[in-house]
Amino acid sequence: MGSVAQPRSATGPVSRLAPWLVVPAAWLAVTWVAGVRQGLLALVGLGFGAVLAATAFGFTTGWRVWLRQRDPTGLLAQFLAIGLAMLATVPLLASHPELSGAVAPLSWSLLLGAFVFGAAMQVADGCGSGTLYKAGLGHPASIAAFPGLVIGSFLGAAHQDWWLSWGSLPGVSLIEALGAGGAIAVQGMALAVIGALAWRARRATGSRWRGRGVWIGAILLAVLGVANLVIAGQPWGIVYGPGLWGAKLVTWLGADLSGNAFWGTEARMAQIAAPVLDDVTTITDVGLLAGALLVAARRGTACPDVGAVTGRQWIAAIVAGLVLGYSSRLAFGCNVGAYFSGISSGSLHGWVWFAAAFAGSTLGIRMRERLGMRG
Amino acid sequence: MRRIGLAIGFWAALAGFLTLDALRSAPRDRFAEPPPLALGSERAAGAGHCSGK
Repeated sequence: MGSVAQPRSATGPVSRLAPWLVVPAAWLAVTWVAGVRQGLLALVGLGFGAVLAATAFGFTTGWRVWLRQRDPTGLLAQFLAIGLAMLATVPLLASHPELSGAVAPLSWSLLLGAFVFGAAMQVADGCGSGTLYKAGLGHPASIAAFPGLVIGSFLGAAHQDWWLSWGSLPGVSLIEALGAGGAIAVQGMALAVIGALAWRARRATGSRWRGRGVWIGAILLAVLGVANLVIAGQPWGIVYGPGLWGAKLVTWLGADLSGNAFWGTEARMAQIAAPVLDDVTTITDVGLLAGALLVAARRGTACPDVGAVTGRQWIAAIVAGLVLGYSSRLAFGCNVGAYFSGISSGSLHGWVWFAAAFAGSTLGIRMRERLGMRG
Repeated sequence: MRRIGLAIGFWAALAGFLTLDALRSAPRDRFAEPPPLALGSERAAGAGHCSGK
């Protein structure tokens, strides 16, 4: 996710006021058309977007700042959000079979996809949620990356079966293996140990996150993540939504996806035919975009001046979006669906994703420096 | 350099996609609408999550 400092823009009062009129009206329309559950999920999405934008809570930046400057603040805030979400998510999943956790296979595609995603998110300066919320804010690179995220997520899902044929083990739910208490204890310990190591390795430099904002953001993200589970029946996710949009677009162009191993299942064909706002991931994604826009309108920080963007940087952003989308589907999610929701659901694949994506980020930071990108 | 036109284009494209989708998709059955909360509804979650295969 992106930079903390948001340069002030010179938008006038009309353009600042417009989102505050349009977004509530759009929310009412969505609730009327798509139903109460979707309306509630749109509010959760608005909350995600507002919190991410207002507190500069960043997955991508949190990792990059630790790797470059050994500032552990962003990383520790992520652990706090995941740990708090886990405290409610694991008991809910253990006691309510109607709820589904984010549990996915342990496959070669997971390792490769997460590594590539970790590298690409540093080049794009945004992970799944970061690309969305910064596109909502009007960041040029994220807007450029967005179409690639849609196409890549669709294609990655369409090819997922082939990638899985390389070899995979079934998903491991620590709730099933250790019980709810055991899963919380083991994962809580792991987060604490990694957090302590990150803190111990810190350098005495001023943190880019000042004040309590990022910690409040972590707590709010955990609350919203649990709300997402309670309302939708599944944890927070991002990249399934853009993939579904891509599936719809190619279907409109005449493609027949019924023979595809991923998109051709009965449930997904029904989703492709149904209104896209009926999809729980889509509705929170759209809400997230709108929530970020509201915060930007409130602060007058929409469409920030990010300086001149070279042709090379435009191309890098477009390609990074495509790679982000594709790799996230090989890895069964992005930083939200796999890392945040996977670990808080007690799934081992969330930890594998974290390790592989973190390793990929070290490569992505070097690529970023070669491209002359700021921050 | 600020690129307001790019942001407006992005939101217009998104609104256009959602509008086109509403026009092209199968009509909703309001009587088949899910309950407001999945928790306690005895209805399993749908097909759409990133962790799905």
